[in-house]
Amino acid sequence: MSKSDGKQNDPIMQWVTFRLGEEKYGINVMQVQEVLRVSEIAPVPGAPSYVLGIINLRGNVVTVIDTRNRFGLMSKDLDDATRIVIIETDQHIIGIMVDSVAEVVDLRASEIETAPNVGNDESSKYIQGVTSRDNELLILVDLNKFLSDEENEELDMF
Amino acid sequence: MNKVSRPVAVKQIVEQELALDSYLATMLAEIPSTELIEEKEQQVKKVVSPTDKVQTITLKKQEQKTELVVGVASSTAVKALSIMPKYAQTEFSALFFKVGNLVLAAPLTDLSRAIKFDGKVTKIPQQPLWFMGLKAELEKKIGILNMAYLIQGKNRAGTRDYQQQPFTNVILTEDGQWGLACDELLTISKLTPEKIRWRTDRQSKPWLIGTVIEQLVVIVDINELVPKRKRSSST
Repeated sequence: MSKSDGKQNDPIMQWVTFRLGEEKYGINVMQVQEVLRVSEIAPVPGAPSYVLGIINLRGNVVTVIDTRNRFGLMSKDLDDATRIVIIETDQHIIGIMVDSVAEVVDLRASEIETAPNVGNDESSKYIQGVTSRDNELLILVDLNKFLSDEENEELDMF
Repeated sequence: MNKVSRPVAVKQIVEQELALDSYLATMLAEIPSTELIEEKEQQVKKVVSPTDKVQTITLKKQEQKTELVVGVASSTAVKALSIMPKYAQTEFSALFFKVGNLVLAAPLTDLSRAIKFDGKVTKIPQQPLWFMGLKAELEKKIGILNMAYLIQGKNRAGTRDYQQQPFTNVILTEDGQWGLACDELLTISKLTPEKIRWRTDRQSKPWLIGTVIEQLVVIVDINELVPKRKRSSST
């Protein structure tokens, strides 16, 4: 097999990594539009608990998701490292609040392993896989499955 | 296909088995609960002395013995033998370990090794309480399971403060995909099938395979305790 064949069978993807609590997560760089410092987030009355509110991004209204809440983690006070990552999913452009953004890493497809899902199918279907990186595990998130169909419909209201 | 003529003795054996079925159904009807075992822990302590404790160990599987346990002594185990795993039909080795105050045993054939546990895992969001997270170990991502939750259930296991009293050891399944977090590793002992009260009905708590009669220690079927996990594959 030639080198080019090997590359085709084992493509490299770039992932933006961020931290939430003790864990490091990765999202596909192609879906990341920009990374913002936290500015004023306007709360939305009646919004689900995982919605922090909305921001005005150059004239566009973008919903900001409380990623800690979405992942079932305890909430945390904002600090200098807190960022809003603007991402583009199949349905929406949304912001996800994270504790900090770390770096962009290259990963071969062969380096990614399926994460065991021992809960129900819905519970963590957005976990695309895991990989070892710098002596720790990186959890890769499928942003297109980050929100359920019902949740996406709810976001249409904002 | 040629027909095989059955010897007359087969009918007698079937009748014997029916009689044993009836006898064992009565004898084994009462499944030892974990609560019962826990209450009898003091008796176990006498049997498993602190000097038997082992450090982190590599579990060496026992060699398969060809000799089956037969004869009068094992006659009451005929029914049990039919539902027992293969390894249990001869003498087998089991690891005795503790989860909280509970002493349990697991056949070595179901295990690969035991490692010290520092409590550090990568937590996967929104998983059940009994799934602690992933731990990278020798190129593998081991799913670490909270054995207290699996064995004792939420009500009893949930009362423990796992920050203050973390598990200190993990025993790994044979395929190395799962690790069962536990407390102390006690000893490895050889067990013979006639010294175990085997469960004949495992519809409830299928992981509870039997009880070591003398020590009153529950034998855990590790393969029934761990969830089915898809083989790792690239995405």
